[in-house]
Amino acid sequence: MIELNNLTRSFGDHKAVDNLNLKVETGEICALIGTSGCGKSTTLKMINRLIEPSSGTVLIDGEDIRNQPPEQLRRKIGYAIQGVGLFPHRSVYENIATVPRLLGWSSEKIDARVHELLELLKMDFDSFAHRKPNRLSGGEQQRIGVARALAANPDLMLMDEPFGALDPLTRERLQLELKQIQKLLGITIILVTHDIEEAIRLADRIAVMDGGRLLQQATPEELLRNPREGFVSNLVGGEERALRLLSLRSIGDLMEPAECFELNATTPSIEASATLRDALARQIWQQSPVLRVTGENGDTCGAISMERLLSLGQRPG
Amino acid sequence: MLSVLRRVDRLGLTLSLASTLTLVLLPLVNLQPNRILPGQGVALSQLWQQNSFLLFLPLFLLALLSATFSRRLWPRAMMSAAALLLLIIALGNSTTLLLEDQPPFARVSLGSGFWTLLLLLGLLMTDALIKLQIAPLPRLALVAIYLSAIFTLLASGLWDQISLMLEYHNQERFWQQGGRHLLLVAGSILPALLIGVPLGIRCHRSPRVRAAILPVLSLLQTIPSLAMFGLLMIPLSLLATSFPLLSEFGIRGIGAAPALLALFLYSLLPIVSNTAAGFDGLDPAVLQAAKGMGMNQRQRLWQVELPLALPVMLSGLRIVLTMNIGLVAVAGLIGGGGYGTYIFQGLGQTATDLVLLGTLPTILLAFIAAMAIDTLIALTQRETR
Repeated sequence: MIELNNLTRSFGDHKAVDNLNLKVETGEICALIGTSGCGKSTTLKMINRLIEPSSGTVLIDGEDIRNQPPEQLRRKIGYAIQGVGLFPHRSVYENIATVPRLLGWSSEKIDARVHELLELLKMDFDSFAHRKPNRLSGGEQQRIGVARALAANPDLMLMDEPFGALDPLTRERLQLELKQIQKLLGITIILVTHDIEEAIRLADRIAVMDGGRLLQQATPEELLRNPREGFVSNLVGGEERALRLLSLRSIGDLMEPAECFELNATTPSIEASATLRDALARQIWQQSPVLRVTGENGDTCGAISMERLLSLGQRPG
Repeated sequence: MLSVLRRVDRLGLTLSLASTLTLVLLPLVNLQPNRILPGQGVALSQLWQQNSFLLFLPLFLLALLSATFSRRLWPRAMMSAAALLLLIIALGNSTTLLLEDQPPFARVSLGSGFWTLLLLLGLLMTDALIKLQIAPLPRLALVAIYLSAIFTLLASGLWDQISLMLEYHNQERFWQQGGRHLLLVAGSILPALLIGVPLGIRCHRSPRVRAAILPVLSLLQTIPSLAMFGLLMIPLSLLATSFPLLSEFGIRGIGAAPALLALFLYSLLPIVSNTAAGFDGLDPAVLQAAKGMGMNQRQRLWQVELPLALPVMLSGLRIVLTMNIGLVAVAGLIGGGGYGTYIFQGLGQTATDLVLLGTLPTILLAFIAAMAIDTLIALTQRETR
């Protein structure tokens, strides 16, 4: 568990972060969101001591991070940033091996780990390991950035707008992969973003910051249903909230029995793992008020109607 | 007709016309009554029937034609290179005939036509070589092979009758002077690197240090070299007279000490400013990633910052190397040694070829140094790309 207690950081008279309190449970993804200059990056950098707080403490699993030298602390925490910052003079392999080498791992152990990570990120060892970063696409670079951050098996990974520079398609794919990897490894991630879609898609908990203060922290659903008036409610979007709410849930959880509808061979179908938002989009696109829901094996396991989607996306209260 | 015109290489055409005019109008060699008196130009018209010119002229024509009309770069480079080699051979062979019924002190020296042709053919070769975009190491190897071919010709005694080589054979210490020349260059640059690189890094990290140091170094750079030698002579000779022990170690008003000190001071600005520029240009994301992953300051410096700033730092070293190779020649005037010695002796004796014996190796050294550093820069940049 990560605890930020009364954390404040001033630059001159300006308080970049003002008395911030936040708890992030182990195995959670927490998104710090806000406009630029709201103090979210400063907060993140205080967790790996790139910036020292003016007052307040950061505890990781109950231990004050100031009890160890900053370099040792940072080697235990994964760190991925916007612009990636891969070392251009080193190969993909050497980039991933950076922290393990700093920690003095044996070359066999490093070799095994690099293989493992490239496999985890679905990148072929032989075609990628010995390339220089400039021979990679933006998405590939960011994947290697994540692999490098994960190299020494950290329990915690800090990410500062990691997908900010990518095109929307690549971004979405990497977000999904990151979520899978995080669930697989069970690590804790604290992620800084200004993109509410990204926060909703990835995070278990969203902390909204403005002017150095924490305005609200909640699960994505709670945040969408009950945003605090003002900044938070602007951030989550007025009418678009309906679609965002739908995007939080999968069809499988809310579908209706197939018997309630007259499904025939021409009824379009959708996988149970897709989101309600996907279902609505398909209904509009295919001009079909009902969709057949299929399980992993392709069998029909239910149906979902536009009527139900409309009620699920309704304004609360 | 139009299509032929369109295929004409403009640079090739210009250089070809200039080469032809040079060959026809300017004297290839001069026939001097002795070492010092100016002589009479000997043009192609008096030389061309000789056998060796019969080999040179057709190849020369071919080289010019391919430079003008052909887009194929290898033939262009090879033919102008071969033409130059054949010109060297032809001139060497013709000297014996020219000197046949001359008085014993008569000499054949290289004329304006030869030097102009050397320049023009050199330009043709360089142009083709650049356009070929050969990888850095093979390019260096090609130049090395070509230069050693020329040296082999000279060492074979082919030019021994030519005034320049006569001057060379008169100087027993030619190669020692070369060694001393390089020693002075290295002796000024190594300390400048040891002090300039850390200073450049300080400048990068602290704007205040930069504001204090760079203007001083720029000011030093504007002092003309002879004035700098003069300025340094006074304090150094004072030091030497007050502490005789120092002069035992060679620290005197004239000689190597003021030369080394002056060159050291001149070297600081390019090294410091290029080091600072190299560090300024580093990608902030890379540095932040390095720090955020837990590299300490020393690891960041040696594993990330220095390797990435190296190409820019090397281009500073290139400036300093070529500059100091030239300046060491000036240091010959105050008894610093090196090839400058021949230049100033030659000027004193009005012996042009002795001046050339000092000038040509200096130019060649600077050229080789620049090529070598360029190769290094290309290699380090390829590393990071």
